[in-house]
Amino acid sequence: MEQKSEIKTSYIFLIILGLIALAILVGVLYSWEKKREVSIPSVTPEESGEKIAPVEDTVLSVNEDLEKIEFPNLDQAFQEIDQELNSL
Amino acid sequence: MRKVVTFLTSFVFLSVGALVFSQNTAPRLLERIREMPRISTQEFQQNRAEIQRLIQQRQIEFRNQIREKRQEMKAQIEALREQFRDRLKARIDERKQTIVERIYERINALNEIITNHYLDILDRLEKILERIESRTTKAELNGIDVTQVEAVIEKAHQAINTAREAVKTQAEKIYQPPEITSEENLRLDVGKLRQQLHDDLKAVEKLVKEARNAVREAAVALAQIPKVDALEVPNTQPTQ
Repeated sequence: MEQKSEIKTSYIFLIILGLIALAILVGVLYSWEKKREVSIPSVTPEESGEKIAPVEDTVLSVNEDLEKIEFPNLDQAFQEIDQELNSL
Repeated sequence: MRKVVTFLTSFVFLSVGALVFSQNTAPRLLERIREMPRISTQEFQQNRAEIQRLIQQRQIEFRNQIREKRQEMKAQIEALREQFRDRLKARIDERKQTIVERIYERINALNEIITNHYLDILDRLEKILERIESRTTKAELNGIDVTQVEAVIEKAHQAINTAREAVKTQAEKIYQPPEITSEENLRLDVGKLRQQLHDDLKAVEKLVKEARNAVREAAVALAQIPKVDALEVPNTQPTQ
């Protein structure tokens, strides 16, 4: 009797786990499909009337823009705090 | 029975992982163009403009998430500042109290300024990477094998995503007021908080620099293709 009840519980547990897995799978597929809808529409010139302003994609221009990237000087950014600290 | 449970648990984790991954990846021009059998210059530009729009939209959404979180944090920081003020009143003189309060305020403000700067850099890197991908796609459309460049581009995307998550975590961090042990140790106690912020920002900066280097490597890999800047979309009629 007790063994039967144990088997029943195991089956219920399995079914619940299966349902969770199925729900997640459906969620993943739905999300993937939605993402596809948003990100992979084959846009044709006829569909979109907006002006295209392509950004330059030559290696030369890319390198130029990479060189322009500047990181903040942390020591300089902390200068005010350090001055305040020194006055304590 | 155990095997089934292990399998199902792994499946659940993998599914969640796939879901998170699918939402975190930037739209890719190469993948999109590959799905189209033939493409004209105009269609290529249209698709590229669409990808650029999606990248920008994703960047705006990311910033909005941080902005919303920061709004919530403001009240928390203010409450912490009030508690800190009460604690200080009993222990140190008014002049030093004002300075310590100001430092605490600046710590959280500086975190916001620097993380915003890092976000700007990552946004620019992502846009530069899109340009590298555009040129790579043109090379592929001209029959050139771009497998190696594509692999480096993928690495750069991953590096940007890693850095972006780190910046988000740092931007959403609230610095607790320093524990003041005594008036004599005031400088040391407050200095610990300053050092903590400095170290945290340095760690994030390292990841942002790695992302910049990864994008640079992608540009270098692209430049290995002979006369790559001269390659354009081969002449075909627009798809019907």
